[in-house]
Parts: sequence; structure tokens; C-alpha cells
Amino acid sequence: MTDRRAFMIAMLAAPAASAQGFAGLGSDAEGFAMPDPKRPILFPRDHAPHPGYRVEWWYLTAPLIFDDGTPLGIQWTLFRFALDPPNLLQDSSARHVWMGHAAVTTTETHRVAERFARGGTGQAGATGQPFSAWIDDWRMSGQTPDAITLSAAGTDFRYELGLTATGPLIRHGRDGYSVKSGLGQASYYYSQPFYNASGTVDLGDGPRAVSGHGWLDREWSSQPLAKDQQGWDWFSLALDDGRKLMAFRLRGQEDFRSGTLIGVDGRTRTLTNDEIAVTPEQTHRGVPVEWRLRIPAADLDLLVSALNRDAWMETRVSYWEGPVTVSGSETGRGYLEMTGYRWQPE
Amino acid sequence: MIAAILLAFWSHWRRNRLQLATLITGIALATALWTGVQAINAEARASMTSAASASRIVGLPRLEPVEGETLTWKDFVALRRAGVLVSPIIRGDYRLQSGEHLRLTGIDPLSAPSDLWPGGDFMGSAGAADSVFVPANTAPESDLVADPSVPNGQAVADIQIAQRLLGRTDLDALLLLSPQPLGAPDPLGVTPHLAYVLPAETAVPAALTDSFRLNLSAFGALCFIVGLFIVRGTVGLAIAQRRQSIRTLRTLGAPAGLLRALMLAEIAIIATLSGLLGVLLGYGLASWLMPGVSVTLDGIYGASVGTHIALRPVWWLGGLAMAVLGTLLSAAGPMLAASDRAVLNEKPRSFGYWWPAAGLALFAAAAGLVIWGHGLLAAFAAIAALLLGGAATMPATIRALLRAARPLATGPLGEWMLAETETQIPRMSLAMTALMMALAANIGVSTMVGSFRESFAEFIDQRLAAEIYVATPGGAGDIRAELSPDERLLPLRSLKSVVAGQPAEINGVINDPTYREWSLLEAVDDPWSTLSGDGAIISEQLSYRAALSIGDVIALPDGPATVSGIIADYGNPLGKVYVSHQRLDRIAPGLPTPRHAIRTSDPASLRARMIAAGIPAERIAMQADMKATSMRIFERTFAVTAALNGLTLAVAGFAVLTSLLAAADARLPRLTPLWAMGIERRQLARLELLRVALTAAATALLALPLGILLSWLLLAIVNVEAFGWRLPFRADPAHWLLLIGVGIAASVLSALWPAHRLARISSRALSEVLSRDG
Amino acid sequence: MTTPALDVSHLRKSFSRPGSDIEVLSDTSFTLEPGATLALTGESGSGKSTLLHLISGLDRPDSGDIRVAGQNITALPDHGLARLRRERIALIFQQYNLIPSLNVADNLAFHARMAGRRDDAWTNALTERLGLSGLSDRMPDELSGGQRQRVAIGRAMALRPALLLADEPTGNLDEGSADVVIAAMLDLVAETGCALLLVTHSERIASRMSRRLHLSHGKVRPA
Repeated sequence: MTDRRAFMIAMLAAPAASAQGFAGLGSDAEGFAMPDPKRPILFPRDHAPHPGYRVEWWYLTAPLIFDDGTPLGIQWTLFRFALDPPNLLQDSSARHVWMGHAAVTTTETHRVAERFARGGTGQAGATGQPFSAWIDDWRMSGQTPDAITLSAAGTDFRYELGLTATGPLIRHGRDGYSVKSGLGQASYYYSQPFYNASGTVDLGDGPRAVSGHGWLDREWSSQPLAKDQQGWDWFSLALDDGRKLMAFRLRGQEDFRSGTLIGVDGRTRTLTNDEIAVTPEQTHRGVPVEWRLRIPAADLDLLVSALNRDAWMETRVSYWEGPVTVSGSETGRGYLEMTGYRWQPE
Repeated sequence: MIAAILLAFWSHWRRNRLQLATLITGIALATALWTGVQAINAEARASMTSAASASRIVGLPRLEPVEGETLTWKDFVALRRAGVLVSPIIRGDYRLQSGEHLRLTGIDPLSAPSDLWPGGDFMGSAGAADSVFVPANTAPESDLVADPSVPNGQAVADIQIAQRLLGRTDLDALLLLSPQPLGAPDPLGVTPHLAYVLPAETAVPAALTDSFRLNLSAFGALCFIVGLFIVRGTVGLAIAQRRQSIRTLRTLGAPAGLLRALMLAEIAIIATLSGLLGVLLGYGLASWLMPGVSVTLDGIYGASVGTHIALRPVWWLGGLAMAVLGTLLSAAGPMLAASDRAVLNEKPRSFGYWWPAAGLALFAAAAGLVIWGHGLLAAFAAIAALLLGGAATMPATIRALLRAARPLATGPLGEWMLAETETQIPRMSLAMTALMMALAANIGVSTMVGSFRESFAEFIDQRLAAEIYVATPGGAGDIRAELSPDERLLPLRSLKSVVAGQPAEINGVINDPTYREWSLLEAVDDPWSTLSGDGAIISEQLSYRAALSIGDVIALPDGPATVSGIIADYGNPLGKVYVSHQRLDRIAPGLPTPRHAIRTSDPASLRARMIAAGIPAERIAMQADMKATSMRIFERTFAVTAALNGLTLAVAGFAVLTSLLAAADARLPRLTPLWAMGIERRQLARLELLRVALTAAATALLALPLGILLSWLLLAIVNVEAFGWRLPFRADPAHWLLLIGVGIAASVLSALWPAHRLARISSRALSEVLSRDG
Repeated sequence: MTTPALDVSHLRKSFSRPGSDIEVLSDTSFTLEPGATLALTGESGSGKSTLLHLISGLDRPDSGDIRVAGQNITALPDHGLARLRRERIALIFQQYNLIPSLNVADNLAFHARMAGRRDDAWTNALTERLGLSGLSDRMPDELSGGQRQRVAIGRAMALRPALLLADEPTGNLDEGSADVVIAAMLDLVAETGCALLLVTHSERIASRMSRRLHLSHGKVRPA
């Protein structure tokens, strides 16, 4: 039992720099289940948590506006980490650590809260049917992912949203098998990018009505990163023409790019390494906060700019995450997540 | 040749064993006091640092099950899922394989404030998260991780590990974290079977212990200086007696350089051996005093600090180094001089005019530092200048005092006594400087501690004026129902905020006579009634740090307020602002009132009534108990200070003895004429005692203003610079007289033996002195 | 017949030394009348000083009697001897033995005041006659040897002692100073009528006394 928590410790203690990729996600996965391209994602089976895999997350981002039109964004994230491989002799739920991050970002402010919980007590957890995930009073729940409510609170913010899907669930990669490196590291990855969202956000001066759209990501794996991969730049964009674009770049000895272009009707096109070009345009405190993102095959040449350049998540595992505005060949809004950077003093 | 010289040196000590013993004792005593105090200090510092994390738990508000209920993970999860941030703890007795019992605290590092985990951050202890953290001095066992941050007698582990080790499934308490999320519900609405338990008010503010340690350090340094006076006196005597043999050695062709080197080597060896002895004595001293210190800290932190002294290199090596370097420093001067010019007739140094002049310059420097200096360093420099100035002016001042006393002398013997005492000042000045320093330090520090005690007692009397204090998590409605018409309820509530750029607490008070009894340092007329307008009373710390005085305007969250009074608030690191109850309502609408004070003429009966009405007894604190606890802790601190007082004076007494023994041979020719004129030996011995007493008394008279000035510097300058509050000066003449008496007694005591020798000297020895050839 | 100022009879004194005892005085006897002056001479180590110490009560004989103005002092306890020295006997030493912390005037009056016989007119007269008038405020270490010895004589005579004992009083002085000192001493002895026993090895000084005794091998005989 001596290193039962070693993974958690390594995960929490090593932001950005380590030999195991960002946040330990490149650690060896011996004993854990591994994504298998011959085993596609199936619904509703795969709405449930996957305790045999080492790491799993529920990720909801929503670019919103207040009723006066002012833009903002909210983030709701729950991570599950398994402390050791599955073992028939033990209650499996107790060997997990849960970590929640929530944030509200406006042009003026970026408010963050963080929660941790051990598994097995009910303090945090997830179910597939009904579809729910929670840590403390933060919760995402609905009968199915089609209609969910979402809530979270920190010392200086609180939000409650209802989200209704207007399109299908999207499986990335090959039926949900999403490759993450040239060496074959992969994860299971599906999304619901078609949410209409509305609700209230309270920044300490009372709840205010908000609306917009939302994007849910569900992903699980046991070794999603190659050992040399030190971080990623991940985009989820809702274009004003109704199309959605997911694209990411994993930074290692060689960059690994991948993405999914989602049509208005939910049809997808997987974008490969060579089909995506991302270049940082502007850097703020060591973090690129403006990007040029080109998908020549789809005639997309986009300028992606942070709504609030200071959306650094000062959590135990720290990274940049915040709403973005899209301009260029198309307009739109979305979310940008960047890990493995160092937030430098101004 | 070297062997021959060493033999000559050694034969000196063999013939003068008493002198060697004095030298060794002097160095050892000085080292012992220094290392003892340093050892206590090091131990206290280490213990307090590690106690801090344990005390964090004690200091946090928590939920505990009411009588007959249990607290389980279910309650924890229910509260967390309702949005209340709590963290579970469990405590119990844990027996190691070695049989040692530790108090095990189980913590949930995932939900606890990060500084509760050993070493601060639980993430730093990778790979050991499943281990039990034990104090650094625990015998190694598997699954135990020794961690210097764990206090003695304690152990820390993950809560589930702790539950397994303690064989329990329930929890002891849920710590309420601060701040809670926006819109978090009332925890008692979620788990009604739990009660809100406020942390026990720490009886003595932690900042006071810093002051206590400052005292200890000052003591250590002064003790050492006093010790060095002994060393210098003894070495000077040894040199004087050796001059003849050194001269002979030089005429026999021993090079001066070699003699010098060998003498330094010799004294270094003696210093090392004596220093080792001193370190051992210091260890004993610290072990003897540590229980008192530990009880003091125990009371302050509610955590066991340990009563044993660990052998930390920081103090025993430091003590040894101080012994050797200090000895060489104080002995090198006379030694080198002796080897250079082996002259026989060296007159005792006369005090020219420049000594008192230098002293006056030092006094002026001290005054300048007080007036224009800033910071702790300037304050300590002022203290050093004051003491050195006192030492430099001492011979001239004693001389003046003795001259002034002449008209009081009746009869030839009285006149002779005064005259003789005066002429002997140069020979006694080293010892008397030691005595004066010791007395001044004692008067200064004891006045400071005494002022502390009185101010603190008065402060407690005023601040704990109410007879009963009750924790009122659910409001005071049930208590109000129990009160008789003459009993008054005072809500106690405060808001942490920032005022004038300083972290501060805004307190709301109702209009009650209780507050009018509080004495203010400065105030407008009837300051408490200004609170109904825009007035505010601020604490001294806030006034000092933000440079605020009466009439200044401060910005409060709801608008400006005018400072109408400044109030002492000893030992509180935060600033304080008092506004009216109504105004605090405006500033923080709905701010709960976690505690109430009650004024009553019959506290016992009210307590019984409240308990009968279902208010848990642990929520009710009686004023008398709180006061007693606070004062008990202080008394223990004083006990340690008093013990050190006594030891310093003993060392000073020893310095007097050394100087008297050194002067004994030179005394006879001055006394035999009196004997020849018909004064008996016993009377001569009495006169010698009287002379020492007279010198000591004059020294003590001088030490008194010096000590009073020293205490004033400590109270009004050092304390303000270090902690932000000034202690009122409380004169304690009775105690001063006692200290002076003890100082004189110590001197007379040390003069007893030389006097006894004089009383028993053979008449032949005396008559030989009378007829000795020139 | 008047009582002798000093009557020494059959005095014996020996000192223990490692190995053997040395008999310093064996059966020494002599008397001294009031107003008489007596010089005691002898080789170095012949016991002159010892005899003087015995007479002044600073030391005790092994046997024999010493009477000072008729009083047998050998039977006196220590405090009796101290009182005798305080009131009846004055001593003058080669080393002066002034009190170093007192000035000339205080030294001069000291012994008389100790005996409770303060007499300012007499001490003033002594100061003048001993030529110390301008030196009253000086400290002993500011005086020459001759001046110091004159202060010592003044101190002794201020007491008006019955017996004055002087131990080589001019031993540290040059001839000129010595003569002045001896003359002053003899003058005052004559005037006060006290007896003087003076130990010296100087023929010149001894010749000025009215009687002379020589101490040798523990016995005195007329020189």
C-alpha cells in the first residue's frame, strides 16, 4: 500500500514539468484498461464512469452572454484519477481521487474554485443513467446528456445553468478512439457540442441571467499522453454558421495535431496532423493568448483571441483556460485550454 | 624549550589551584548561562514552529456532535454536498511498537487547509501519504515517517489510515473552513445533530511568546558578558602573579613570540575544557528550566511542546565557540601586554576624565537613537549604548556618591571606610561593572515583565469584564429567554477587513456601561458615545502601523469614520476598530453573532439556568476560569524569568568573589596599620565586608536608574518596534529594593570567605607585613 | 619609686621552622622608666623586631612577663591587647604604615581619635612642629619618606602614649632626613614624658638615646 497515492501525489505535485508528460498523464499504465480501436464508444453504456481506466474527465465549457450582451464564459470540470489498477478484492470506488475545477470568466475578472475528494464516500462521483457527475455541491445531472443542469460555486461566484442539446453526440477519432501521439497513445473521447445554455451567474452582487451555448467533453484513458508530451493547446469553437470545430496540438519532441470538424447536421470530419496549422500570434505572461488556426481543407483561416488574457487557473494543477472570440474567415466563440506553460510575472 | 616553558606555566596553576578553579568556574558559568538560555530558546523555537500546525487545528471553528450523537462520513458528505466546506478530523491515542504513546490526528489532506499536513503541503510528502508522520525523535519503525514539523507526543496521518489504526469508523469533528463558498447554507440546517464549536480563545496571544523569547535572548547575552568579566578578572590576576616568572623566562632566552603563542594556547585549552563543562552545566540548567517553559508554551498553544532538551549543535557548538572566543578576547589583552613588557610595577588603572566623558557621550548617543532612530536595531543599539555608558561612568559616579556620604560618617573608622572604599574603586570596578550590568538587566527585565503582568491583568479584567461568555451559533434567542431583568446580553461579533491598508477586525458594540470601563490610551471626551455618530475607536497597533491619531478619518466599507479613541490590545497581531452594533449591521448585513457576553450578578445561577434550558455546557465559558488560565500561564513565565534573575546575580556575585580574592594579598598592607593601632582582626574583617557592601550599594544605586531606563527602552521602544504596542511603565519599587538587596547580599556573600580568611590570619603574618622590608 | 613605663622580665620566644625550633629570645629582661629613651641594637635577625612585636602585643611570648605602665599584658586576651595598642602604645615603623586612603591631617589625628582622645589644639601644634603645615591635604603617596615618617611620629604622639615603640624609623631615610625625624621624636618624647624604645642598627641614632641595649643570642646586655 506504500505507493497507493503516489500517482495522485505525482499528478498533483508536478505541474507542467516532469518526465511523465503534463500532470503525470504520460505515466505508465500497467494494470489499467487501455483504449482499443476495435472497441468503439457505445451509448448509453459509455455515459457511465470507467473505473478500469486510470484517468477520466467530465468537461463542460460555455461561452455565454449576460442579458445586456456582455460576454462571459463558465467552466465546469471533474477529473477522476485511479490510485492503483483495478483489483477484484477491493471496493474499486475507494481508490479514486476526484478533482473539480470551476471558473467564471468575464472581460474584467476570472474567478476560480477547486475541490478535491476521495472516492468511496459519495462526496464525489458519477453515474451513467441518469447521467450525472458531482463533487460536493457542484453537479452536472440529467436523465441523459441531452438535457442537464449544471451548478458550481466558489467563494466569489456561483452559477446554475440548464443545457439542452440541439444536435447529436459526437465521437471523435475512429468512433471515439482518439489518437494522441505518433506512438499510438490514445483515449476515448466524445462530445456534446450542441447545447443551448441559459441560467444565472452570481458574482457576489446577486444572480444575473445568462445565455449562450455549451460544449461537453467526456474523455477517459490510462495513458493519454506520450512521455515527451509536455502540454497541449486545445480549441473548442462554435462558429456562427453553425459548424463546430475541435482541434488540439500536443507539444512534444514533435507536435501532434488532431481535430474534428462538425457540420450543422452533426456529420464529422476527422482532421489529421497535416490538415491543421496553429501558430501563436500574441503571448501574455508566457502564454499564447491569440492564435491563428487554419484548416485549409475546409477553407478556415481563423484568428482566435482570449476574452480575458488573465484566465490562468491558479489551482494545484495550474493551466490557462478561458473563453475566446473567433474572427477571420468565420466568426464565432469558443473555449481555449492550454497546459504545460509557466505563468510568468508581469 | 617549549616543554620547559609549559612546565613553568603549569607549575603556576599547581601552586594557585584556587585561581585555576576560579578561572574554570568563571568560564563555565558564563558558558552555562549562555548555552542554557540558547538551548531553551532553540527548543522553544523548534517546538513552537511544529506546534503551529497542530495548533491550527485547535484554532479552527468546527462542528461536533451534540451529546449522544455520533459524527460519520455521511454527515461530512451531506455537508459537502450541501455546499458547506468542512474537513474531517479524528484524534486518538496511538501506541507504537516501541510502546510509546502518541496523540494521533487523522486529517483529510484533500479537504483540509493545506498547512495542516506535516511539512505544510501534503503534496510535498510524495510516497509517504500512507504513512504515519511522527516527531523527529521517534525510534524508527516501518510505515512511520519522522518529520521535524510534527510536535512531540503527536502523530499525523491520513484520516482513513488513522481510522484504521484507531479502530474507529466515526469522526471527531468537522473543521469549518474559511471562507465558505458564496451562498453556503447554515451547516446546522443540514446536520442538526451537530453543534457549532468555536475554538477556545487562546489564553495568551501568541505574540507574547515572541516577547518572552526576546527576554530570554537578552538575558543570555547579558549573562555571558557578566561571565567574561570574571574571566578577565581572573586572567589579569594570574598574569600579575606570573610576571616574575615570565621575566625570568625571557632573561633565560625564551622569545616573546613563543611565550605569547604558548600563553594563548594555554588559555585556549583551559577555555575549551571549561567551555565543555559549561555546556554540560547549561544543558542541566536548560533541562531544569524547560518544564516551566514547556508548560508555558503548552498553555499558549494547547499542544505538547516536550520537556526534554535535544542536543542541537546550534547551541552547544555555539556555546563552546562563545567560551573560547570570549575567553581569548577578554584575556588576550593583559596576556599580550605581559609577555611584551615584563614590568613589575603596574599601577592600577586610574580613571581619567575621559572615561566619564565617554560615558556621557554614550548616554547622548542612546538618547539620540531613541529620538531619531527607527527600527529594532536602533533600539538595541540604544540599550547597548546605555549599558556601556553606565559602565564607563560608574567609577566616577560611585566616587561621587561616596564623597557625598562623607559628612554622614562619624568617627575615624567611618571616615576611613568611605575613603578606603573610594580608593579601592579601580580594583573593584570590573566586578562592580558585572554586578551593575546584572542588576540593571534584572531591574529592567523584571520591570518589563512586571509591567506586562499588571497591564495584562488589567487588560484581562477590562476585556473579560462580562461574567459569562456563550457561543451562540444559532442566535441568542434561547439565552435571552433565560435572563432576568438585571442581566444584560452583549453581542460579540466582528468582521475581518482591511482598514487604512492594515489587516483589521471591525467590531460592533452596543451601548453598554461595560465598555465605558475600558481605559483608553487616548480619547476625546466620552468616546463611546461618538460611535452612535461617525466615531470609531481603534487599537494601538492600528494607530501605530497606519500612523493614525485622534481626529483622523479612516475609510470603513460603509463610509468614513473619525478616530475618537485609541485602545490597548496587547498581543493581537490584527488591528481593531470598534464601531456601533448598528453600523456593523450596515457594513455587513446579516453578519452572525457567534458569541455573546453576559453581565450578571450571579454567574453560577445563570449558568445553571442556561444548562437547564438545554444550552450545552461546553458553549458556556465562565470569566473566572478564563482569567485564571491566562494568569496561570503568565505566572509560569515569570517563574522562569525569576530563576534566570537569580542565576545572573549569582554569576555577578562570583565576579565579586574573584576580584576580592585577586585583591586579597594587596589588601593586607592597607589594613595592618589599623591593626597596629588596635583594631582587631575580626573588626577588620567586618570592615572589609562593610566596604564591599558599600561598594555594592553604590553600584546598585547606579544600576537602579539604569535598569529603569532599560525597562523603559524595552517597554516603550523595543516592544513598539517589534510588536506594535507599547506597554505602560509600572514602577515596582518594592521589587527594585528587593533586587538591590539581593545584589548587595550576593556581593557580601562572596566577600564572606575572604573576610573569614582575614579574621583568621595569624598575627605573625600581619606583623611581618608591618615590618616587611621595602 | 615610679612604676616603670615598661618592665620586661624573663621573656622567651621561639619560632617553629620545618625541622627545628629557633629560639629568638631566651630569658630577656629589662625595664624602661617614663620619659626615658632606650636604643635596642643587634644583628639582622637577632630578634629586635620580635621583641618589639611582643611588647606591643602584636605577638605573644612563650613565657615571661611584659608590664606596660604596671599592667601585665601577657595575660590579656586579644581585645585587651588591641585596646592597649589603641590607647597606651604607639608604633613607628621603618615602612611608615600610614593609612594610604587618608590625607595627612586625617592620618595624624587617626590614632588619637581611635582612642577617643581627640585634641585638635594638640594635633595642630604637632602638625606645625613637625613641619607638616602645608601638607595637611596631601595623600601619603604624595609625600617624601621623611615627610611620611614625620606624619607617623605625629600620629603616634597625638595619642600621648605611655610607650612609644619605633622599629628602624629612619631605615629608609637619608642622614639629613633621619636627623630631623629623630630630633622631632626626641623633642616630643621629652615633652610628653612617654618612654621610647627604639630599635636600630645605626650607631649614630643609638648614641642619641639615653640608654642602649644590645640583643644577641636571645639575650640583652648593655651596649
